[in-house]
Amino acid sequence: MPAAIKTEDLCKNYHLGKVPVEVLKEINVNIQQGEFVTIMGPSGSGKSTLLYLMGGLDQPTAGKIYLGDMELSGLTDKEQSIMRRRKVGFVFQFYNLVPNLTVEDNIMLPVLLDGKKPRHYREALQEIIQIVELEDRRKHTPRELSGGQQQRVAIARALINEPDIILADEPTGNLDSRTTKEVMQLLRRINQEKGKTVVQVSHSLETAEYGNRIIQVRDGKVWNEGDEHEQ
Amino acid sequence: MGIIIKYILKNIWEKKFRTFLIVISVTCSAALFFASSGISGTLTAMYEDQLRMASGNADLIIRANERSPSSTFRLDPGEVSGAALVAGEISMGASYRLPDANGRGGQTDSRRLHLRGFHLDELQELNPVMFSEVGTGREFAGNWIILSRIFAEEEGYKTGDSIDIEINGASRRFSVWGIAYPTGLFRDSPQSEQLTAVIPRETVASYQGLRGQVSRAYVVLEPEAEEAEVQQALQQIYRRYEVEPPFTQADLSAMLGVIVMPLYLMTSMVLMISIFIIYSTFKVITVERLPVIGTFRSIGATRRMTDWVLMGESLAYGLLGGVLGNAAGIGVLYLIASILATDPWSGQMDFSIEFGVFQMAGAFFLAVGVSLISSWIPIRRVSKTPIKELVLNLVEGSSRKKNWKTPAAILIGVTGWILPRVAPHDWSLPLSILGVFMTMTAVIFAIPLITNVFLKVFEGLLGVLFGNLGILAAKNLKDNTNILNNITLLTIGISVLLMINTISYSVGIEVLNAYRDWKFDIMVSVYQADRSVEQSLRAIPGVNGTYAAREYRTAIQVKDPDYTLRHLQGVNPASYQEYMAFRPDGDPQKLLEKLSRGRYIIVADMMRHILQLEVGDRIIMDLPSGLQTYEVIGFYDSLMMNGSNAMIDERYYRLDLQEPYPERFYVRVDEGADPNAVMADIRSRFRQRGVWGDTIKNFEAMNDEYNNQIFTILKAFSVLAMIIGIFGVFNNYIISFIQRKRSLAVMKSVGMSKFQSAAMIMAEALTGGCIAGLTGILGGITILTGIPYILEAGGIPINIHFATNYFGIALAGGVIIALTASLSPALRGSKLNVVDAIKYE
Repeated sequence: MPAAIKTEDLCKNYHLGKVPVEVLKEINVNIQQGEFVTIMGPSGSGKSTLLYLMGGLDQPTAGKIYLGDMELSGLTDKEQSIMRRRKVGFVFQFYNLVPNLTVEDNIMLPVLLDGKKPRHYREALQEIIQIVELEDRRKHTPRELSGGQQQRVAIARALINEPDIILADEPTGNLDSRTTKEVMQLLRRINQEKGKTVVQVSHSLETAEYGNRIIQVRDGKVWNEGDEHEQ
Repeated sequence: MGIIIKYILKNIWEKKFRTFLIVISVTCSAALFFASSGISGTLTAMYEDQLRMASGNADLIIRANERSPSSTFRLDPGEVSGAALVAGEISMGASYRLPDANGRGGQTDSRRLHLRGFHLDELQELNPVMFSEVGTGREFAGNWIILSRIFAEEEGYKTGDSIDIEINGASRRFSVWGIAYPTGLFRDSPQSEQLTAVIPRETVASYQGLRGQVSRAYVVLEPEAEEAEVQQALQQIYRRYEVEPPFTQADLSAMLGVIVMPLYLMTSMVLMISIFIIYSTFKVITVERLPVIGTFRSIGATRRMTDWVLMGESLAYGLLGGVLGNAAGIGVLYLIASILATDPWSGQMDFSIEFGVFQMAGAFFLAVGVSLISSWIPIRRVSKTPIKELVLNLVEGSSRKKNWKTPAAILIGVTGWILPRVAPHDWSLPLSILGVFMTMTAVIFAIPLITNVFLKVFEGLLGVLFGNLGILAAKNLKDNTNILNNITLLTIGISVLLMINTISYSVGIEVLNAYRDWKFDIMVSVYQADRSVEQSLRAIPGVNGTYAAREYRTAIQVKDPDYTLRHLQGVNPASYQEYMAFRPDGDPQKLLEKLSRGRYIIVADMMRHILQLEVGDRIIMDLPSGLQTYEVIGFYDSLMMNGSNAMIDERYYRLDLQEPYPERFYVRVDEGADPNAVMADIRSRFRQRGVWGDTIKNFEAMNDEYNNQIFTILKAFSVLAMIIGIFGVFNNYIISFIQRKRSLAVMKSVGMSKFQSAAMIMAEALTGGCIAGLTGILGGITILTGIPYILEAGGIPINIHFATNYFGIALAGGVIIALTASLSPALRGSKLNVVDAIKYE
């Protein structure tokens, strides 16, 4: 069975003004289906860039990324968009919800963009809203929710199209410890009960413990691709 | 302080388009205010100049009126204290037969001459003639004539040449005494066929058998003399003649009101757009400045200091707009004056623009004021925000729902609708204007509600048209401040354009209707037209029938109730309806028959409305025969002289107005006959008597031209308002894109393609444009329902006629502007870098 995510000699360079900056240098990682992987590293190490490249939000300078047996660099804009709707779900540190849409609308966004009939997703929506425990908030807009509630909406949005992979960029970076615990438990439940592959970027060892493997990135290189550890 | 100024200037410089937008709004408002406040003075000077051309330095004119025993009088030889000069004039009509080659298409073979008789020394004191050629050493007496240079050059005359002129049917030979530049009495009027020539006063008098008499006298006062005293003294001498200034300020004001009031109205509309643009732009500016304001406050800046940073920016825009507004205002004023100087009735007028410190200071302070006041509310909001919220960037956008807007819209709208309808007559103009502004404000307040209702109703349709993207577009539009701002700007712009174009269209229709009421082809007036004139007219080939119209156009004072009647007709009940449409309340023929039975009067609807008249009421009119009481027997629909008109029977007209001759004739031509050819024959037949007139088609064309002049200016104002609005819309779309970058990136992160991004933005624009078009139409209709009250209060009763195609154009215009303005955001949105937009808060 192919890996859920695989990178081959992945490089990413930026230009800061006229100065070239090597963010990622020949990264090779392999993430199996059903894994809960945490990418860790100091600020500026390139961990978020790696996550965005895996989700097709950014283009590599060199190297290849595979989601299952699909190689991303060969995809057109439309194919990449479809991939993001169906194959991956993103969760961001600052939730990134659309402010003028309700909880329900935010969750249904990938479905709407996929051209599917929203009425066909009524049951799925109900189930996800129950999972994220937001039944009484479905008609609210993001500014009427707490940080934890907003992040749960983001997680629900990431799940609505039943993607295989959840990519989370510091999902608890903006939350207090109690909410952090709630969100991490939710991600672990999704990983264990729904079998989704979860890749999160985090600074915190505490949140990394919810996963089963840690990839350490430092100065654009994988410094230590850890083994699976006991929960 | 230096740092603050540097910071303000840097901000202004960095946001060039925004600066341009605010400055152009302020500049336009100031320029239009400048022009509106300056036009009165400029036109007064222009008309005064025009009148001075005819009456020179005269401060008073003595002439015969309807109560005078004769149309001429002898000048009193005694001196009048305070009068430096009393210059008599007697004039007459004549004609100059053109050589055959100069005949105009065979229709006109002569040119009318207005021979004005003066003593040259008096004329030179009163209204100096500027000679380009003059014969020296000859006394200006006998058969000498002074020609205008234009005529002399056209016909090849030089000083000393002989010229044959037809006077009272006989050819008279004159010698050219001098050639005058076309100024003063000799001013050129391209539209007028009549030429002026000056001959010795006694020569004219002798041709008319009126030796020693004058038809009018021009009085120039001594520098220190009191006009009223001299007027009174002259009135004592010339008891049964009129002694009046050449024109009064009241006459001028009445004439200028028609032009100045609409200009101020349009300026107010432009001002409304400017205030809205500055207010909405400053809301964005203040949000952008929050972190810096927070930093300033955290390091010890007081609230007043940070207010100054923002107010300083606003002040800078106001100062710049004030200076540019003054400069642009001079240009606008010149443009308006040059358009109005082309008078289709009397030719091109000379003009120079007149303005002073009042206009300049007024426009300048308006610019500064509008900028400061419009930006004050957003600035005040920031000023009240606690430092902690500023530093931590916890200030929420202005997306709070404004629940007060809908009830406010209803309250203001209803009040605005009622006001013009219940306003007492004396207050009807200001209250009607206020009412129109209130209803427009109500529409603006109702825009969020209208938008939400529209989206609710059409969300399904958008879904059908654009699929899920249409549904998303509809959701994005809900409570989106920038889109609402766009809709508001377009609404004001479209409403104003719709209003001006509909009024212009309505005036066109009304004019057309008025001329359709005339069931004849030519209107002609012949000096002292007795029955033989009418018979001669009927004998002209092509003339099918004539109606002798008795019309009194000199203001008649109605004593009870108090009113000035502008137009009184003495009608012939037997044939009136053959020549004029007559739409009374009730049976027309019966009413006309009753009219002939006594001193009865039928009053136009507008006059009835103003005087609150009922059938059976009596009105007392001050007529040449004295005070006469007439009983009102009916009312009719007529906008002649703006509805200030009435009709009595011709028998009583002749008696009470002491007018033996008909004022003019309505002439109907045979089917297939060319009215222009018949008119040429009439001119030729009555050349010696003095004839005035034209075909109805030509009158209509001149009327149209005159109306078009005013509407050209008003349309230009409304287009300007629309252009500023469009700039605002473009700016708002860009602001909206910048503010929505993150949302768009989020959508891309969950699978929105470039095409979908562009399509969604365009769907939003299309929907927003449709809403703006509809609210613009609603605003336009709302204004237009109040406009008749304003016009009526201003003495111009016009029915509003809606042109349905304008509604279509308004809707399409809204959509096109919105789509065009969203092209750039759509393109930029599709190329958006997701990571950059999402990653940084």
